[in-house]
Amino acid sequence: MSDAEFNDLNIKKLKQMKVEILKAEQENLKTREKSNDTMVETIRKIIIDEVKKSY
Amino acid sequence: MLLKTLQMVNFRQYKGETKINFSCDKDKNVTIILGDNTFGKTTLLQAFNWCLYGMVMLPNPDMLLNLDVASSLHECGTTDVEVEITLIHSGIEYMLTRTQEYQKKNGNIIGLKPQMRVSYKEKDGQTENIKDTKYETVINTILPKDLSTYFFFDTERVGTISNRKDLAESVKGLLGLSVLDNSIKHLGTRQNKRTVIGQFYSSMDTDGDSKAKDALQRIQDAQSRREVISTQSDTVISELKYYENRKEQLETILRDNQTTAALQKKKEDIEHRVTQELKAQENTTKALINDFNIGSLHFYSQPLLKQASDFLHKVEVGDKGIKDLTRPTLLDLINRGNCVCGCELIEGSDALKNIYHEMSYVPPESIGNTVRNYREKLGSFGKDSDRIFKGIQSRYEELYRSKVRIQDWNDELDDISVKIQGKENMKKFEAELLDVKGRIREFSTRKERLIREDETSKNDIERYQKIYDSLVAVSSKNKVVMTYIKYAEEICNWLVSTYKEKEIFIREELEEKVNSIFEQMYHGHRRVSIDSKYQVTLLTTVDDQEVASGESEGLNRVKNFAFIAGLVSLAKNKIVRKAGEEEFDLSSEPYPLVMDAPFSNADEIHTSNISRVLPEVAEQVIMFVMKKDWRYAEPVISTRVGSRYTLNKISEQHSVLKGE
Repeated sequence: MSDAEFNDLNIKKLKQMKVEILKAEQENLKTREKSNDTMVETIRKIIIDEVKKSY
Repeated sequence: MLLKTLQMVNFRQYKGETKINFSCDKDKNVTIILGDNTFGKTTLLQAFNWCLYGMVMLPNPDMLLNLDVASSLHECGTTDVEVEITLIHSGIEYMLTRTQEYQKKNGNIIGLKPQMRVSYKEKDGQTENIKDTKYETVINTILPKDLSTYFFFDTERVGTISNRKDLAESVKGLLGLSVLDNSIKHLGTRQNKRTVIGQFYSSMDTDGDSKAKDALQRIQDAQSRREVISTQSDTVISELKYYENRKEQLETILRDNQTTAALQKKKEDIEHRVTQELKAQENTTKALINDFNIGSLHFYSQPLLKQASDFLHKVEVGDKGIKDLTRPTLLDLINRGNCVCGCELIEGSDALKNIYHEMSYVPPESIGNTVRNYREKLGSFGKDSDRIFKGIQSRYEELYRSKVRIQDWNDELDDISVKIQGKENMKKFEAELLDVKGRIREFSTRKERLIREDETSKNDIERYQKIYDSLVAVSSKNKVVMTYIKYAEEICNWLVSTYKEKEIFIREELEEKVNSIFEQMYHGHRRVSIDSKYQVTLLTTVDDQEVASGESEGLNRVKNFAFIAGLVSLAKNKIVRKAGEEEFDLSSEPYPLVMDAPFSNADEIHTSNISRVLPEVAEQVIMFVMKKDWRYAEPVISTRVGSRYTLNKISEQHSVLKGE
């Protein structure tokens, strides 16, 4: 990861993260399958995976 | 979601098979089921609850099998109770079937564990079953249990629905705010270890740096304190709000009933005076009896003494003898042989002669002295008698006046009682107002203290965060973690601003919608206000100011109907938010309204108004209505009725549903 990326966030990645987090929350709101801690882990993973991606 | 059919087999009083086809026509979206009390209306509502969530709120909930069927079972015989719902959700037709087998064993009817089947129709018409482990998830997706109470409700629940504690959460769920709210909570803050950002922050490499660890610990401790303070603040603010509302209500009640309050105060004053007067009367009576006991002899002997006095005045007394001198005194002097003047009393002496002479003036030779003495004493005896008589007379007069006063006051009390009859005790409200004011002071002080404590914790966090950041930002691993935090915080900030913007908009829109519906339902001049916790308050205008007004049972019902209708209407609107390239529909699915005896306690006009509004705002309306209420609802709703049934009660254990 470059210093530039560290300072300026990648807009595309940011948008993708928003979409995936909202999808996960909406899905869980309907099914109530995941606990609080599981949802925290899911979102954490979304962010880490997206940061690691290279577009 | 649209309900297509409800089919019951031997479910409570619905013996055999009973099927209802609900109207799904957009223009005729109302299904009416008519039936009087105890005909089985509530059982229909409970059939939905049992099929969807496996719960029933009926007496003896473990015995769902029809009693006629149960009594005809042979030993070891079995039979099923079944409820099946077909519905359309997101364009897909679902069939939900809950079955419970009942068995007769040793003369007892025992229900086995209920079984659930959920299936859906594919586009090609094929039916697909959903796995047993997944059916709960599917039902929650169709209609979450905690939201179901807003769409399947009985008369009683209408009365409390807008004051439920979990109202805010449910409204957020229905109006699509929960997605944003949950995301914000899960992303969290650097200080909360159980959130995404908190976990990233805690994962920073602090090996060998005890100062960084210490700073992080202090940040997290301060955050924990802030969370406790925040919970306490919420409680304090909610209590404060409750008491401020109550204060306004009490002031309105007291203002509206000033005359009653004044009369009640006057009544209490008079009652106090009567009590005091009765005490004084008792004391006066005691004194009168005491005077009588002491003076009655003097008083009643007066006529006799007067006679004696008159008689004795006629007696010739003369002034010959020495006053109070008695014969024994003179005989004693003779025995001693000496007079008091020192002369010897010897035979033949002048002194002895004088003594014998004096003897002729004392009894028994003469009673002149005695009469004189007696007359003098009679005079003083007479004086006391007058005084005692006057004393008794004055006390008697006082008692008489006191009784007149008490009689006057009692008459006045009777008048006041007639005037305030049937009105509430204003003193009770005055005492409550005093108590409420005290509580407002107490909670305001507590609120200020919490604000100060929160400020201190916030400053601690800022201070230790600067220290921590400067200590950990050096390693490359930490740089990556800081990137995750940056993304997470950026998303969180976006969600917070979106949430704020949407929340205010939705609340304003909901208030506007509820007021518009309330105006159509209520035939009076009041308004509805919705606060940040979605609690609904009725407002009335007094002297150009809006104040919280009292609510009768009927008015409360209209308010709650307006609230539910507003909620349902708003939930139909799509709440869309752009997140990246995609647009996000945050709102929930539109739901039908299923109501048991919705018009109980509502008057003729309200019944008619509510009936007019509900089919307009809800996707589908299913009502179980009493025939007496239907008279007022029918003229306005009949054009919207697409399906109609009547309940007939054959016996306590058997009701039959007939389509019309």
